[in-house]
Amino acid sequence: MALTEETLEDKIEVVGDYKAVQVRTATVIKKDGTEISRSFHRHALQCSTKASGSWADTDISGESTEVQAICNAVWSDAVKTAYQTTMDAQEV
Amino acid sequence: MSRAQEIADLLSGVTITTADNTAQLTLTSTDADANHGPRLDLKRDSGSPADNDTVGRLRFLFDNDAAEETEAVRIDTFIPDVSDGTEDATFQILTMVGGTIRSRVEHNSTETVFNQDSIDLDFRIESNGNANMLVVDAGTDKIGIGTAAPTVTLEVANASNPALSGVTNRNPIIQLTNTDTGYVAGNATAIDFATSLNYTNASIICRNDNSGSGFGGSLIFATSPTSGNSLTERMRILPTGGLTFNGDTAAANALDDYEEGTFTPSFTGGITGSSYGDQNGTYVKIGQLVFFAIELDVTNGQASTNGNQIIIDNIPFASAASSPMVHSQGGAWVTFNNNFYNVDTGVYLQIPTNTNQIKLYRGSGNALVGNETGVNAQNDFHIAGCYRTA
Repeated sequence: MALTEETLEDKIEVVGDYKAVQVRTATVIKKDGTEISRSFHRHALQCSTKASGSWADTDISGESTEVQAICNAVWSDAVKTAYQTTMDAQEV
Repeated sequence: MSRAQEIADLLSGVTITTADNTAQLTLTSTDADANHGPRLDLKRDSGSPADNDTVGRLRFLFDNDAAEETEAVRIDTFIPDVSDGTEDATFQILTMVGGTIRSRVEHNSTETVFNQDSIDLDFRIESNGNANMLVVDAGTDKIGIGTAAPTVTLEVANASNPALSGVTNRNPIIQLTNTDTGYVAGNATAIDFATSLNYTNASIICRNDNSGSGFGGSLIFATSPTSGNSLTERMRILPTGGLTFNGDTAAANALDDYEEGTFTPSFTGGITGSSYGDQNGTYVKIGQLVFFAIELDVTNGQASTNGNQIIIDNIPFASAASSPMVHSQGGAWVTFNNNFYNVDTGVYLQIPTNTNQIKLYRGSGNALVGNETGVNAQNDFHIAGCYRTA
C-alpha cells in the first residue's frame, strides 16, 4: 500500500470588477494511485495592496508562474487605479 | 412372403434398418421448378377433429447405458383450436435434461416461450462481439446484458467509452432517445416511476434546450402530489450548470456551487506580526454565500501596532461588486475575544464590496486602528462571518 500526497492549483478564477484572482489549491491523497481524499485551501489576490496609507502593486512573487501570468495579464493600470479609487472611497 | 403380406406389413408400420452410416430413408425430388420439393407430410386425418389434437411427433431415440430405449429430443405439434377459420397450432422442441424430457422452446398462438417447464436452464444470446449479449440466469432469476453473471434483476454492462472531463471509464450503458420531433426545444425523454395503478409518481426528464443542433439539455426531477396524478417540477439541473427549484429556471436563481475548505487570514493593516500562534480560516460556500470562521493571534512579542485601520486580509473569495450594495457585502462577529480589544463599545467587522478584506470599526463607527487604547494585538481574536461573493 502506497500513500501519496500532492498539491495542485486546480482552480484559478478571475472575478469581479477589479479582476481579483482566486486560487484554489487542492491537496490530493492517493492510495496505490487511487484518490481517496481531496481538500481545498484558498487564497485570493487583489491587484493593489495598501500599506501604511500608500498603494502598491500586490506582491505576487510567491505565486506560481501560471498565477503570475494571469495576474499580469488582467491587472492593467486602469484596473489598479479603479480598484484603489473604490477602496479609498469606502474608507471611513 | 406374399405380396399381400408385404402390403399388410407396410400398412402396420415400417422399420428400415441398416448396419452402416448410410441414410435409412432418403426423399429425393427431381422436380426442376422452384416450388417445394422434396416434401414430407405428416397428416392427422381424424374423422372427429378436436381441440388439442396432436398433429405429429418427431423423436430422436437412443439406448442409454442400461440398454433402455430413451428419447433424446422430441418435436411435438398440437392443434389447440381446430375451429374452421380460427385454427391455432403449437410447436414444441423438447430435449432430455437430467433424465427428464423438458420443453426448451414453444411457439403457440399467443407467444414464444423458452423454458416452459421452469427449470434451472439459462437463456443466452451471442452477438458478433459479445458472448453474453443477453443472458437470462434461470437459477438466480436475473437478466444480464453484456454480462454472464448479473447480480441484480437487470444488469447492463459495457466496456469503457470516451471519458467526460474528470471522469474515467464513462459508460453510456443506457441511452434514451426521443426521435419523434428531432431538434425541438422542449422535446424530452423520461424515466417514469409508477405503481401498479399506472399513475406516474415521479419522473426524471431530460429536456432538449436547443432547437438548433440538439446539443444542450437540462435534467428535470418531477414528482406528483398525493392529491392528483400530475407531475410537478421540483428540481432542475440547467444546461449551463446549477440547480433550480420548483419551476423557476432563471440562471440567476440557480444554486451553482458548493465548496468547503481552508484559508490563511492575516492582519494587513493596523497590526503586523511576523508569526502567528493561530492563523486559521475555514469556509463553506453555498452558491454566492460564504460562511467563514477565523482564529488569529499574533505570537506574543511579535506583534506591532500602528495608526492604520485594523484589517484582516485574505478571506477566500472576493466579495461581490458594488451594486446594489454600495459599501458592504457582509460582515462578521466576534466569537472569542481574549482581551484583543477591551473597550466596552465593542468592535464591528465589515466586508466591503470588491475585496478580500474585513475592516474593523469601533462602536462609534470610526475605524479601529492598531495603536488605539484597548487594542492588544497579540491576544486571541476569533470571528465568524458571512458575505456575498462576486
